[in-house]
Amino acid sequence: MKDHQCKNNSKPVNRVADDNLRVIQSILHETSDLKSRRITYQESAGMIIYLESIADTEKIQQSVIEPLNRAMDKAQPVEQVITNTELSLIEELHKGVGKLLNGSCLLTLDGMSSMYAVNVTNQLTRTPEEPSNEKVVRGSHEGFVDSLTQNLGLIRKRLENENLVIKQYVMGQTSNTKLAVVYMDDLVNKEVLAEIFRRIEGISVDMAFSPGYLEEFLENKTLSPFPQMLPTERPDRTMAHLLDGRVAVLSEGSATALILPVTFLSFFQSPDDFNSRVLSGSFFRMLRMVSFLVAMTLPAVYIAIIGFHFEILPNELILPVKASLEGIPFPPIIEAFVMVFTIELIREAGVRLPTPIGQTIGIVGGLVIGDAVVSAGFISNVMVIVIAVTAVASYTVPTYEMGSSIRILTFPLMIAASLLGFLGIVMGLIVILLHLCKLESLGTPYFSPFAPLNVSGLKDAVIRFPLWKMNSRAMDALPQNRRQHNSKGWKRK
Amino acid sequence: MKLKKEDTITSFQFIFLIIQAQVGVGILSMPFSIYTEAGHDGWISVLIGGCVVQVLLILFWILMKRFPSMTLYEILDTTTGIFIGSIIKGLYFIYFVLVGSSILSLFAEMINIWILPLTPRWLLIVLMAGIGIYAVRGPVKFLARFYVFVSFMLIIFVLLVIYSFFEVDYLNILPIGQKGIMPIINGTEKALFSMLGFEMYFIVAPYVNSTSIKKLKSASISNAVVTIFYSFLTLICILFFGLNEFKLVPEPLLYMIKSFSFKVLERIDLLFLSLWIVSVATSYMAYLFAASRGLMSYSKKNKEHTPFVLYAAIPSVLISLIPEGVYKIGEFTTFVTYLSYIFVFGLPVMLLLLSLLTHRKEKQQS
Repeated sequence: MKDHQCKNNSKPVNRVADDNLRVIQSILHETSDLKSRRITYQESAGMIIYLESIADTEKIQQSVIEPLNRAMDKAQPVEQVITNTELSLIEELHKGVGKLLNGSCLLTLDGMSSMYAVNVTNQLTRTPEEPSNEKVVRGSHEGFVDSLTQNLGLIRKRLENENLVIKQYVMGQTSNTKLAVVYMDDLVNKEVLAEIFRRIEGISVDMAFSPGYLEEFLENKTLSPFPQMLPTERPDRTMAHLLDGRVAVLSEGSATALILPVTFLSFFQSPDDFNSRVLSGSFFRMLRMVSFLVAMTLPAVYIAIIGFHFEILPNELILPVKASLEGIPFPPIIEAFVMVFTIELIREAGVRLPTPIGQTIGIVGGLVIGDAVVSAGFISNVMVIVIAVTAVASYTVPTYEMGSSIRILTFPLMIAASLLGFLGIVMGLIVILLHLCKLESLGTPYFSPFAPLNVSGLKDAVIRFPLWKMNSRAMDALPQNRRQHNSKGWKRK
Repeated sequence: MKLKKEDTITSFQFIFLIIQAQVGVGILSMPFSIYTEAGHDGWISVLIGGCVVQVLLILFWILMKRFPSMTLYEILDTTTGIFIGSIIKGLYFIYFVLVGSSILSLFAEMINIWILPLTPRWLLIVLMAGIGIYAVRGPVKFLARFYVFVSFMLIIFVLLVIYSFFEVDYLNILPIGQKGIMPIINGTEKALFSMLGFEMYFIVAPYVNSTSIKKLKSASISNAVVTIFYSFLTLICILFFGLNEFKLVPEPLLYMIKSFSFKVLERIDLLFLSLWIVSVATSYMAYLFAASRGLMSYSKKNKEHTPFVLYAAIPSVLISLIPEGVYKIGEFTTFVTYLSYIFVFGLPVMLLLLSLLTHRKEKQQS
């Protein structure tokens, strides 16, 4: 357990069971869920101590009390009597308290200078459901749950391999949250792994309630608009990333696995790409890339055209655009800001509300405001179209984090476009691109395989090659073993 | 595979670094300035210019082979001694800053003429310099990654220009060599000025993690690409405009592209200019890097150029604000290009001779 507890409570176990209970009670500040039950085993009085809230009383009864009663007359040591799989002998009280908080029950007997800790954790589980923010059309519909052991089980079930390693950490000075680092030992880059361990060990926080909370402590550039680690609730996605030589971090009480190091492209991949046929998979992926560009630049381009470069439109287009602008009191940048702001309002309101009300908000916000604002003559028709397309495009990105960072990036581009037209957009894009080239996720290039250019990596970038063509792993995580076994064995003679 | 901690780039990235340093602000007016000297044989001048650059690159390579892990600045220190070395280093720093500021002022002028006539020049210059500062701070490998990525745009460049093949008149290049040899040689001079940027070989070559001969190969490939690209552009402009019209168009590429119109986009020259801005930015970044790397060589403690970028960028911005109007900027640019005779052609050759005569070499670590 943690150091600060050792300092206060490093007392040896008492020979009298009642004294032990009293000390433990005082350590836990007389908490109400601390329960005890007196027992007698082979003429010595004893006590079973447990925390009612996390211990499973059924398990205590089955694996501790019943075997003890049955073996009352035989002269057997306790180790042989108790049928539970996890049993440990404890010499010091503070360790016992640590076990207690983990969900074990303590068995203390008069005349013994140590106690037994038996694992009787109450597994509070829910059934694996499909994560609502990472739905797929075909393929696995399982998602992570809130229990760490069950999540690790979900990964193990998919990767029956002796190289899958799980390293546990305890995180959070106060919360003592369990954290698991999962990787494939024969694939992961040892230097990256060592760096991850170094960073995890260096973090000191009071509370670590989810991997997403840790993300800020682990990443290099917190102020970057781009997420540098991929949170996912899908075990199949986690598995695929582990097989690319990446590392997953899971924590107790959270249904999210954090995958690192990742690239920019990982946020645009979906298991659906690989479940569907090559052509449609590639098409949808290209659609997402295009929608990324559209979501980021479309309002800016429109503002630039309206404000500076009307002449770029062909004659046939000028008339309808000009007609819709007639009588609009605001400059295009204000129009755009009002509309983007409204859409963000609707989104933020809809996210937190229960589904039926959320739909109402969508209808009121989308239809009523959109329609009324145009007929009132505040906002031009074309602007409503532009902003609506932008909003829809920003939601096609399969990960929520990337979608929100795109939406944040539209604002500086819109301002730049309103000041300098196309020049502003190009300058803004240069800065964003430079930032992407400079960004590293744990020392590995973030914008790979585009920069640094990696031709074999491009097979799984904008389009997806057939699986049997992808014979090398993604290079960005610098895996130990480049070759990947994908072949149509039957096609060779 | 190893995590790359040290700041090196690959020879593949080196190709694009030099291409992007060479292709820059001058590309819009290059065909015109060559045409004024060489007439409709300008494309031959460009090819000859490419050969001259190749010879120079080989000379550079011989020099750099003797000092594999040194940039120009460290070579100066070793061959000419600390005192003279630091004076010449200072001159080189000034030269790179001057080239940087000529890029900035040409850029601002072109934007004022073509896109934003009312935007103040200083704003454009400061913004571009800001981008340059952001780019150059940090390891060279990040810069190289960016250069490789934006090189995709050169392909779009070429595609836009190729479209004009539908409207050219092939008879315009005939008769070849009508005016004789001298105009072609004069045109070569102009072509060489547009190809400047290959002197980055001196600064960047030590960062390339590769053998010396491979570095030469990379530089030669980039020279070949740029030469072919430039002569292609010149040729197409000659074919498109013909003798009489060419005299009226100082930015022939833009005028040519402006004349096309597609169903969706009416003015493609705006798109073309947007791509051109990226090329301008990359060559400015290259010179900014060269200048700040020069400042770094004065400092004994610092092993990174990042803290010096600002000191290189500020003078380039200030100098670029001085010349106003097309003619002043033209004079300034011509002055800077003539300086390159000394710094790109003269001094390196002298250095090579000096190091050959004195048998100075970098001490091999073994």
